[in-house]
Amino acid sequence: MATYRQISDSAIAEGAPLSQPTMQALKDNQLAIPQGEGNAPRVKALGIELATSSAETKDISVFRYHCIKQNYDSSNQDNDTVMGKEYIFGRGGTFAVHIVSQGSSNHSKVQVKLYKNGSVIQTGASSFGTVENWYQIAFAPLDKIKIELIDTDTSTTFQLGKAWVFVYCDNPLGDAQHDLGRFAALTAGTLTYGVLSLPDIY
Amino acid sequence: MTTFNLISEIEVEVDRPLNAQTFLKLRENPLAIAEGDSSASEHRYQPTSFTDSTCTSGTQSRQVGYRLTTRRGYNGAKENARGADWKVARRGAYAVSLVKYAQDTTTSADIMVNGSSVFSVTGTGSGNVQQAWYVINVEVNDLVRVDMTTDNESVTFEFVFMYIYTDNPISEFETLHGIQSRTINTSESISGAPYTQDVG
Repeated sequence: MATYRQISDSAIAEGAPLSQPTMQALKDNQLAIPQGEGNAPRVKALGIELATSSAETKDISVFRYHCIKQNYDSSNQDNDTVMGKEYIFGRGGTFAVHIVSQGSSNHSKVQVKLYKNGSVIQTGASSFGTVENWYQIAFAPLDKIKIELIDTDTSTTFQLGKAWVFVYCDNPLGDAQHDLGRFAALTAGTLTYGVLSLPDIY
Repeated sequence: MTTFNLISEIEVEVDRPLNAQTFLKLRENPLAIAEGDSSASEHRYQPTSFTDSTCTSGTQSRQVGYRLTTRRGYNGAKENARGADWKVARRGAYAVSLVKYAQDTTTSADIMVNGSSVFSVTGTGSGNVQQAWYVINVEVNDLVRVDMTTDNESVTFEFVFMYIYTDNPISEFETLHGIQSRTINTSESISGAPYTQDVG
Protein backbone atom coordinates (compact mmCIF):
# COMPACT_ATOMS: atom_id res chain seq x y z
CA MET A 1 0.00 0.00 0.00
CA ALA A 2 1.30 3.45 -0.90
CA THR A 3 1.82 5.96 1.91
CA TYR A 4 -0.07 9.24 1.80
CA ARG A 5 1.96 12.37 2.61
CA GLN A 6 0.62 15.86 2.96
CA ILE A 7 2.19 18.26 0.42
CA SER A 8 2.60 21.69 1.97
CA ASP A 9 1.93 24.91 0.09
CA SER A 10 5.56 25.94 0.57
CA ALA A 11 6.75 22.77 -1.15
CA ILE A 12 5.04 23.84 -4.36
CA ALA A 13 5.39 27.60 -4.02
CA GLU A 14 6.79 29.63 -6.90
CA GLY A 15 10.57 29.43 -6.86
CA ALA A 16 10.67 26.58 -4.36
CA PRO A 17 13.00 23.75 -5.32
CA LEU A 18 11.21 20.59 -6.35
CA SER A 19 12.49 18.12 -3.78
CA GLN A 20 12.57 14.36 -3.89
CA PRO A 21 10.06 14.01 -1.00
CA THR A 22 7.62 16.18 -2.90
CA MET A 23 8.00 14.05 -6.03
CA GLN A 24 7.58 10.90 -3.92
CA ALA A 25 4.39 12.31 -2.40
CA LEU A 26 3.02 13.29 -5.80
CA LYS A 27 3.65 9.78 -7.03
CA ASP A 28 2.34 7.89 -4.00
CA ASN A 29 -0.64 10.03 -3.03
CA GLN A 30 -2.51 9.27 -6.23
CA LEU A 31 -2.38 5.58 -5.30
CA ALA A 32 -2.88 5.98 -1.54
CA ILE A 33 -6.23 7.74 -1.96
CA PRO A 34 -8.05 4.95 -3.84
CA GLN A 35 -6.38 2.39 -1.60
CA GLY A 36 -7.86 4.07 1.48
CA GLU A 37 -4.49 4.32 3.19
CA GLY A 38 -4.74 5.38 6.82
CA ASN A 39 -3.82 9.05 6.41
CA ALA A 40 -5.27 9.57 2.94
CA PRO A 41 -8.32 11.81 2.53
CA ARG A 42 -11.49 9.81 2.11
CA VAL A 43 -13.73 9.87 -0.93
CA LYS A 44 -16.90 11.74 -0.04
CA ALA A 45 -20.37 11.39 -1.48
CA LEU A 46 -19.87 14.72 -3.25
CA GLY A 47 -16.94 13.18 -5.13
CA ILE A 48 -18.99 10.39 -6.63
CA GLU A 49 -20.58 10.67 -10.04
CA LEU A 50 -24.02 12.22 -9.86
CA ALA A 51 -27.15 10.15 -10.18
CA THR A 52 -28.97 10.49 -13.46
CA SER A 53 -32.53 9.66 -14.43
CA SER A 54 -34.91 9.72 -17.34
CA ALA A 55 -38.19 11.60 -17.16
CA GLU A 56 -41.18 9.45 -16.24
CA THR A 57 -39.10 6.29 -16.47
CA LYS A 58 -39.16 3.48 -13.94
CA ASP A 59 -35.50 2.53 -14.08
CA ILE A 60 -33.92 1.37 -10.83
CA SER A 61 -36.10 2.04 -7.84
CA VAL A 62 -34.16 3.44 -4.90
CA PHE A 63 -37.08 4.27 -2.60
CA ARG A 64 -40.75 3.40 -2.25
CA TYR A 65 -43.19 4.52 0.40
CA HIS A 66 -46.92 4.14 0.84
CA CYS A 67 -49.26 6.07 3.14
CA ILE A 68 -52.77 4.88 3.92
CA LYS A 69 -55.66 6.45 5.79
CA GLN A 70 -58.81 4.46 6.29
CA ASN A 71 -61.94 3.76 8.29
CA TYR A 72 -62.96 7.17 9.51
CA ASP A 73 -66.63 8.15 9.84
CA SER A 74 -68.54 11.16 11.01
CA SER A 75 -68.07 10.21 14.65
CA ASN A 76 -64.32 10.23 14.54
CA GLN A 77 -63.57 12.43 11.54
CA ASP A 78 -60.38 14.22 12.48
CA ASN A 79 -58.85 15.17 9.13
CA ASP A 80 -55.49 13.98 10.31
CA THR A 81 -52.81 13.60 7.70
CA VAL A 82 -50.48 10.66 7.32
CA MET A 83 -46.80 11.58 7.20
CA GLY A 84 -44.36 9.23 5.53
CA LYS A 85 -40.92 8.33 6.74
CA GLU A 86 -38.03 10.39 5.42
CA TYR A 87 -35.58 9.05 2.88
CA ILE A 88 -31.98 10.28 3.01
CA PHE A 89 -30.09 10.59 -0.25
CA GLY A 90 -26.63 9.10 -0.08
CA ARG A 91 -25.51 10.62 -3.36
CA GLY A 92 -26.42 13.75 -5.23
CA GLY A 93 -27.91 13.97 -8.69
CA THR A 94 -31.19 14.12 -10.50
CA PHE A 95 -33.78 11.53 -9.62
CA ALA A 96 -37.13 10.76 -11.21
CA VAL A 97 -39.84 11.07 -8.58
CA HIS A 98 -43.30 9.62 -9.07
CA ILE A 99 -46.00 10.64 -6.58
CA VAL A 100 -49.52 9.30 -6.62
CA SER A 101 -52.66 9.91 -4.57
CA GLN A 102 -55.82 7.90 -4.71
CA GLY A 103 -59.09 8.58 -2.90
CA SER A 104 -62.27 6.59 -3.09
CA SER A 105 -65.35 7.60 -4.99
CA ASN A 106 -67.53 10.26 -3.35
CA HIS A 107 -66.23 9.61 0.13
CA SER A 108 -62.52 10.08 0.46
CA LYS A 109 -60.88 13.03 -1.21
CA VAL A 110 -57.12 13.24 -0.80
CA GLN A 111 -53.99 14.90 -2.11
CA VAL A 112 -50.30 14.27 -1.63
CA LYS A 113 -47.56 16.73 -0.77
CA LEU A 114 -43.88 16.14 -1.46
CA TYR A 115 -41.39 17.51 1.07
CA LYS A 116 -37.71 18.23 0.53
CA ASN A 117 -35.69 18.95 3.67
CA GLY A 118 -38.88 19.72 5.57
CA SER A 119 -40.47 22.10 3.04
CA VAL A 120 -43.26 21.33 0.59
CA ILE A 121 -41.93 21.45 -2.97
CA GLN A 122 -44.82 19.83 -4.86
CA THR A 123 -48.52 19.43 -4.17
CA GLY A 124 -50.78 17.11 -6.11
CA ALA A 125 -54.36 17.93 -6.97
CA SER A 126 -57.09 17.06 -4.49
CA SER A 127 -59.29 14.33 -5.91
CA PHE A 128 -61.55 11.39 -5.20
CA GLY A 129 -59.75 9.55 -7.98
CA THR A 130 -56.16 8.77 -8.89
CA VAL A 131 -53.72 11.64 -9.43
CA GLU A 132 -50.23 10.91 -10.71
CA ASN A 133 -47.34 13.34 -11.12
CA TRP A 134 -43.75 12.86 -12.26
CA TYR A 135 -40.89 15.18 -11.45
CA GLN A 136 -37.16 15.20 -12.06
CA ILE A 137 -35.61 16.68 -8.97
CA ALA A 138 -31.99 17.48 -8.15
CA PHE A 139 -30.86 16.37 -4.70
CA ALA A 140 -27.58 16.83 -2.84
CA PRO A 141 -26.07 14.18 -0.58
CA LEU A 142 -28.00 13.93 2.70
CA ASP A 143 -31.06 15.75 1.35
CA LYS A 144 -34.28 14.26 2.69
CA ILE A 145 -37.68 13.71 1.13
CA LYS A 146 -41.01 12.43 2.37
CA ILE A 147 -44.65 12.56 1.41
CA GLU A 148 -47.75 13.56 3.30
CA LEU A 149 -51.20 12.18 2.60
CA ILE A 150 -53.72 14.99 3.10
CA ASP A 151 -57.37 14.36 3.92
CA THR A 152 -59.15 17.11 1.99
CA ASP A 153 -62.68 15.81 2.53
CA THR A 154 -64.05 17.33 5.72
CA SER A 155 -67.73 16.63 5.48
CA THR A 156 -68.34 13.03 4.55
CA THR A 157 -67.49 9.62 5.81
CA PHE A 158 -63.88 8.87 5.06
CA GLN A 159 -63.30 5.37 3.83
CA LEU A 160 -59.92 5.05 2.23
CA GLY A 161 -57.18 7.30 0.92
CA LYS A 162 -53.73 6.36 -0.32
CA ALA A 163 -50.52 8.04 -1.41
CA TRP A 164 -47.25 6.72 -2.81
CA VAL A 165 -43.83 8.03 -3.65
CA PHE A 166 -41.34 6.23 -5.88
CA VAL A 167 -37.82 7.43 -6.58
CA TYR A 168 -35.79 6.21 -9.56
CA CYS A 169 -32.38 6.67 -11.10
CA ASP A 170 -30.68 4.95 -14.02
CA ASN A 171 -27.10 4.68 -12.70
CA PRO A 172 -27.52 3.37 -9.13
CA LEU A 173 -24.65 3.17 -6.68
CA GLY A 174 -24.94 -0.11 -4.82
CA ASP A 175 -25.83 -3.64 -5.75
CA ALA A 176 -29.21 -3.88 -4.12
CA GLN A 177 -32.47 -2.87 -5.75
CA HIS A 178 -35.35 -1.45 -3.82
CA ASP A 179 -37.98 -4.01 -4.73
CA LEU A 180 -39.81 -3.48 -1.49
CA GLY A 181 -41.14 -0.42 0.24
CA ARG A 182 -42.47 0.75 3.54
CA PHE A 183 -46.01 1.71 4.28
CA ALA A 184 -47.67 3.64 7.04
CA ALA A 185 -51.33 3.29 7.84
CA LEU A 186 -53.29 5.61 10.07
CA THR A 187 -56.41 3.86 11.23
CA ALA A 188 -58.37 5.38 14.07
CA GLY A 189 -55.31 6.84 15.71
CA THR A 190 -53.05 3.85 15.22
CA LEU A 191 -49.86 4.32 13.24
CA THR A 192 -48.23 1.19 11.97
CA TYR A 193 -45.22 0.51 9.83
CA GLY A 194 -44.39 -2.48 7.75
CA VAL A 195 -42.65 -3.72 4.67
CA LEU A 196 -44.49 -4.76 1.55
CA SER A 197 -43.91 -5.16 -2.12
CA LEU A 198 -45.13 -1.86 -3.54
CA PRO A 199 -45.59 -2.13 -7.31
CA ASP A 200 -45.68 1.17 -9.15
CA ILE A 201 -48.91 0.22 -10.93
CA TYR A 202 -52.48 1.52 -10.43
CA MET B 1 -10.84 8.21 -20.99
CA THR B 2 -7.39 9.02 -19.63
CA THR B 3 -4.64 6.40 -19.50
CA PHE B 4 -2.89 5.38 -16.29
CA ASN B 5 0.88 4.88 -16.41
CA LEU B 6 2.71 3.80 -13.27
CA ILE B 7 5.43 6.17 -12.06
CA SER B 8 8.50 4.15 -11.17
CA GLU B 9 10.66 4.73 -8.10
CA ILE B 10 13.53 5.62 -10.42
CA GLU B 11 11.58 8.57 -11.81
CA VAL B 12 11.33 10.21 -8.39
CA GLU B 13 14.72 9.37 -6.93
CA VAL B 14 17.11 12.06 -5.73
CA ASP B 15 18.86 14.08 -8.45
CA ARG B 16 16.84 12.43 -11.16
CA PRO B 17 16.15 14.91 -14.00
CA LEU B 18 12.46 15.60 -14.41
CA ASN B 19 10.94 15.00 -17.79
CA ALA B 20 7.68 15.63 -19.53
CA GLN B 21 6.59 11.99 -19.29
CA THR B 22 6.68 12.05 -15.51
CA PHE B 23 4.64 15.22 -15.31
CA LEU B 24 2.16 13.80 -17.79
CA LYS B 25 1.67 10.81 -15.49
CA LEU B 26 1.30 13.06 -12.46
CA ARG B 27 -1.42 14.96 -14.25
CA GLU B 28 -3.29 12.09 -15.82
CA ASN B 29 -3.09 9.23 -13.34
CA PRO B 30 -5.58 10.71 -10.83
CA LEU B 31 -7.99 11.29 -13.71
CA ALA B 32 -7.56 7.76 -15.03
CA ILE B 33 -8.25 6.31 -11.58
CA ALA B 34 -11.33 8.46 -11.06
CA GLU B 35 -12.62 7.58 -14.53
CA GLY B 36 -12.08 3.87 -13.93
CA ASP B 37 -10.02 3.47 -17.08
CA SER B 38 -8.99 -0.13 -17.78
CA SER B 39 -5.32 0.86 -17.53
CA ALA B 40 -6.00 1.74 -13.87
CA SER B 41 -7.69 -1.56 -13.08
CA GLU B 42 -5.26 -2.30 -10.25
CA HIS B 43 -5.99 1.01 -8.60
CA ARG B 44 -9.75 1.01 -8.13
CA TYR B 45 -11.28 2.84 -5.20
CA GLN B 46 -11.52 0.38 -2.33
CA PRO B 47 -14.20 0.37 0.38
CA THR B 48 -11.65 1.71 2.85
CA SER B 49 -11.23 4.82 0.71
CA PHE B 50 -14.80 6.04 1.30
CA THR B 51 -15.58 8.57 3.95
CA ASP B 52 -16.29 7.07 7.35
CA SER B 53 -19.83 6.44 8.46
CA THR B 54 -21.19 8.89 11.00
CA CYS B 55 -24.22 8.51 13.21
CA THR B 56 -26.29 10.02 15.95
CA SER B 57 -27.28 7.80 18.84
CA GLY B 58 -31.05 7.58 19.13
CA THR B 59 -31.66 8.64 15.54
CA GLN B 60 -33.29 6.36 13.01
CA SER B 61 -31.59 7.86 9.98
CA ARG B 62 -30.65 5.43 7.16
CA GLN B 63 -31.11 1.82 8.19
CA VAL B 64 -28.28 -0.37 6.91
CA GLY B 65 -28.65 -3.48 9.06
CA TYR B 66 -31.45 -5.45 10.67
CA ARG B 67 -31.19 -8.62 12.68
CA LEU B 68 -33.52 -10.62 14.90
CA THR B 69 -32.22 -13.16 17.40
CA THR B 70 -34.68 -15.46 19.11
CA ARG B 71 -34.14 -17.93 21.92
CA ARG B 72 -36.60 -20.54 23.04
CA GLY B 73 -35.75 -22.06 26.38
CA TYR B 74 -37.13 -25.27 27.75
CA ASN B 75 -37.09 -27.12 31.05
CA GLY B 76 -33.68 -28.16 32.23
CA ALA B 77 -31.55 -26.39 29.66
CA LYS B 78 -29.92 -23.00 29.21
CA GLU B 79 -30.49 -22.29 25.56
CA ASN B 80 -28.36 -19.45 24.26
CA ALA B 81 -28.86 -17.96 20.81
CA ARG B 82 -26.09 -16.76 18.53
CA GLY B 83 -27.09 -14.00 16.14
CA ALA B 84 -26.41 -13.86 12.43
CA ASP B 85 -23.46 -11.69 11.42
CA TRP B 86 -23.76 -8.30 9.76
CA LYS B 87 -20.57 -7.58 7.84
CA VAL B 88 -19.34 -4.01 7.84
CA ALA B 89 -18.88 -2.62 4.33
CA ARG B 90 -17.64 0.82 5.33
CA ARG B 91 -15.59 1.97 8.27
CA GLY B 92 -17.00 4.36 10.83
CA ALA B 93 -19.56 4.84 13.53
CA TYR B 94 -23.02 3.29 13.41
CA ALA B 95 -25.92 3.80 15.80
CA VAL B 96 -27.30 0.48 17.00
CA SER B 97 -30.76 0.15 18.46
CA LEU B 98 -31.57 -2.91 20.54
CA VAL B 99 -35.15 -3.83 21.36
CA LYS B 100 -35.24 -6.81 23.65
CA TYR B 101 -38.16 -8.81 24.95
CA ALA B 102 -37.14 -11.14 27.77
CA GLN B 103 -39.22 -13.03 30.28
CA ASP B 104 -36.28 -13.76 32.56
CA THR B 105 -34.09 -11.23 34.34
CA THR B 106 -30.95 -13.21 33.72
CA THR B 107 -31.30 -13.04 29.95
CA SER B 108 -28.94 -10.57 28.32
CA ALA B 109 -28.63 -9.28 24.80
CA ASP B 110 -25.08 -8.51 23.73
CA ILE B 111 -23.83 -6.58 20.73
CA MET B 112 -20.92 -8.67 19.53
CA VAL B 113 -18.15 -7.18 17.36
CA ASN B 114 -15.81 -9.80 15.96
CA GLY B 115 -16.97 -12.24 18.60
CA SER B 116 -16.56 -10.00 21.63
CA SER B 117 -19.29 -8.26 23.57
CA VAL B 118 -19.13 -4.46 23.39
CA PHE B 119 -22.51 -3.69 24.95
CA SER B 120 -24.94 -5.65 27.03
CA VAL B 121 -28.55 -5.23 28.10
CA THR B 122 -29.65 -7.43 30.97
CA GLY B 123 -32.83 -7.77 32.94
CA THR B 124 -36.38 -6.94 32.05
CA GLY B 125 -38.11 -3.61 31.58
CA SER B 126 -41.70 -2.51 31.52
CA GLY B 127 -43.73 -5.23 29.90
CA ASN B 128 -40.49 -7.19 29.66
CA VAL B 129 -39.33 -4.84 26.91
CA GLN B 130 -36.04 -2.97 27.02
CA GLN B 131 -34.73 -0.56 24.44
CA ALA B 132 -31.18 0.76 24.29
CA TRP B 133 -28.90 2.60 21.87
CA TYR B 134 -25.20 2.10 21.45
CA VAL B 135 -22.66 3.50 18.99
CA ILE B 136 -20.18 1.06 17.50
CA ASN B 137 -16.95 2.10 15.79
CA VAL B 138 -16.02 -0.55 13.28
CA GLU B 139 -13.70 -1.32 10.39
CA VAL B 140 -14.43 -2.77 6.96
CA ASN B 141 -15.17 -6.51 7.20
CA ASP B 142 -15.81 -6.42 10.95
CA LEU B 143 -18.63 -8.74 11.98
CA VAL B 144 -21.48 -7.47 14.13
CA ARG B 145 -24.23 -9.58 15.65
CA VAL B 146 -26.55 -9.69 18.65
CA ASP B 147 -26.54 -12.72 20.94
CA MET B 148 -28.90 -13.78 23.71
CA THR B 149 -27.50 -15.57 26.74
CA THR B 150 -29.21 -16.70 29.90
CA ASP B 151 -28.95 -18.65 33.11
CA ASN B 152 -32.61 -19.51 32.87
CA GLU B 153 -33.43 -23.21 32.68
CA SER B 154 -37.18 -23.02 32.31
CA VAL B 155 -39.55 -22.55 29.38
CA THR B 156 -39.21 -19.06 27.86
CA PHE B 157 -39.60 -17.36 24.53
CA GLU B 158 -37.41 -14.31 24.13
CA PHE B 159 -36.06 -12.21 21.31
CA VAL B 160 -34.06 -9.12 20.47
CA PHE B 161 -34.13 -6.87 17.42
CA MET B 162 -31.00 -5.04 16.31
CA TYR B 163 -31.25 -2.08 13.93
CA ILE B 164 -28.13 -0.37 12.57
CA TYR B 165 -28.18 3.20 11.26
CA THR B 166 -25.84 5.63 9.51
CA ASP B 167 -26.30 9.38 9.06
CA ASN B 168 -24.28 9.66 5.83
CA PRO B 169 -25.15 6.75 3.55
CA ILE B 170 -23.10 6.14 0.43
CA SER B 171 -25.43 3.90 -1.52
CA GLU B 172 -29.01 4.58 -2.49
CA PHE B 173 -30.59 1.59 -0.84
CA GLU B 174 -32.17 1.07 2.55
CA THR B 175 -32.21 -2.22 4.37
CA LEU B 176 -35.79 -3.40 4.67
CA HIS B 177 -35.25 -7.10 5.26
CA GLY B 178 -32.87 -8.76 7.66
CA ILE B 179 -31.78 -12.11 8.98
CA GLN B 180 -33.37 -14.00 11.83
CA SER B 181 -31.28 -16.34 13.93
CA ARG B 182 -32.87 -18.54 16.54
CA THR B 183 -32.36 -21.63 18.58
CA ILE B 184 -33.87 -24.70 17.07
CA ASN B 185 -37.11 -25.78 18.67
CA THR B 186 -36.52 -28.80 20.89
CA SER B 187 -38.89 -30.89 18.82
CA GLU B 188 -36.37 -30.60 16.01
CA SER B 189 -33.83 -32.40 18.20
CA ILE B 190 -30.74 -30.39 17.19
CA SER B 191 -30.52 -28.40 20.37
CA GLY B 192 -28.58 -25.19 20.35
CA ALA B 193 -27.74 -24.90 16.68
CA PRO B 194 -28.73 -21.58 15.09
CA TYR B 195 -30.21 -21.16 11.66
CA THR B 196 -31.17 -18.12 9.65
CA GLN B 197 -34.09 -16.98 7.61
CA ASP B 198 -35.38 -13.75 6.12
CA VAL B 199 -37.64 -11.66 8.24
CA GLY B 200 -39.88 -8.99 6.86
